[in-house]
Amino acid sequence: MMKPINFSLHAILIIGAVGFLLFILYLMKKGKLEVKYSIIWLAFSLCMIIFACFPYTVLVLNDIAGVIDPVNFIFFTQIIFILLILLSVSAVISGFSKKIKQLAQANAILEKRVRELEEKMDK
Amino acid sequence: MKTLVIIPCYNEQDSIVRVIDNLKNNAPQVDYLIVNDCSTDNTEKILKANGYNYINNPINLGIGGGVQAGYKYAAQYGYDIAVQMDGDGQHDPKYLSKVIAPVESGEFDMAIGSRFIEKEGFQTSFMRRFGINIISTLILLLTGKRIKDTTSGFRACNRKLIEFFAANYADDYPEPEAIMACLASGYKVGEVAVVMEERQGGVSSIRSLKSAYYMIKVCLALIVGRISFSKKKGGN
Repeated sequence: MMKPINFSLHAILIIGAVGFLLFILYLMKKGKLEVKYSIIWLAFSLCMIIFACFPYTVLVLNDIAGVIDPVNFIFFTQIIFILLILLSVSAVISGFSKKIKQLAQANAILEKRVRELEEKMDK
Repeated sequence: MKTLVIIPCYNEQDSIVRVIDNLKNNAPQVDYLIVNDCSTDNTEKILKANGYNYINNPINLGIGGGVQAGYKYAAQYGYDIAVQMDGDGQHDPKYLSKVIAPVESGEFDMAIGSRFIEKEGFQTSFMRRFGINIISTLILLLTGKRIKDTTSGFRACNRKLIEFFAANYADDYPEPEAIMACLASGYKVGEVAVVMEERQGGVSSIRSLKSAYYMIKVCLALIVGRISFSKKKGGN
């Protein structure tokens, strides 16, 4: 049987998880984090809040998954989230690089038109 | 038919004038467009001073993005045929009509000028040929079609493919990937024999140190290309 979680550790975990969620919400409010990119972070932070507030859920999930140490289960969950977030960041960057390329190409064709118009006007 | 020769050009100050003069002498009936891919040397000044027809990419897009800008231009200005030709003097405009002919007649949607059919002229290094053969074999396995000179940047395509390429074109090493995209989408691709020169200036977009990385990337891109392009999306 696991011994109950230390009170101050419990408090730190809850404060940390809630603080993290508040920081995400703050960034969203400031418009520095777009909603479509925030969803996975919100899910991540909610998951951490649940784990911090109700450590019992970790123990249950831990037993279901058959992991030896509960902390490993938490690490495992976090790593899954981090991998998902990293992958989504790569996908977002790929999208951006495609858009930047399209912008540059459109710009190049426009620049030619402007240049030719200017030359015509100078004559 | 309205034909545009797209000439991707990156730091080609030593060869570009010769290439364009040669093109004008051999094929005065076609239009050309130089895509200056943010060259860091005097290329742009030379283009301006000579009054050439060119566009300037505001940022370096690499060969694929540069050529695609050319295809977009061809699509916007209503060209029927677009031909890609390198700016370093490797490709002789004498063969332009030969590369265009099968596209004009409708035999192929894309015709690739191949140095390996008659095995004349500059045949490139052994390692380079080895790599080209691997790519060729992979394309054969994935599509059932043998294209010998998979990295040749001397190629003509018709209006359908101009529009296709304006919308999708690979970035870094686009030649094999473009072949795959065409074949997987059901376009007809074929080769015509040409003689290539050794480059007169500039550096190849495929450098020896990066060649292993290049091979891995191309092979992966070809497999992905096989999966992602379907006949429903484009083609006939």
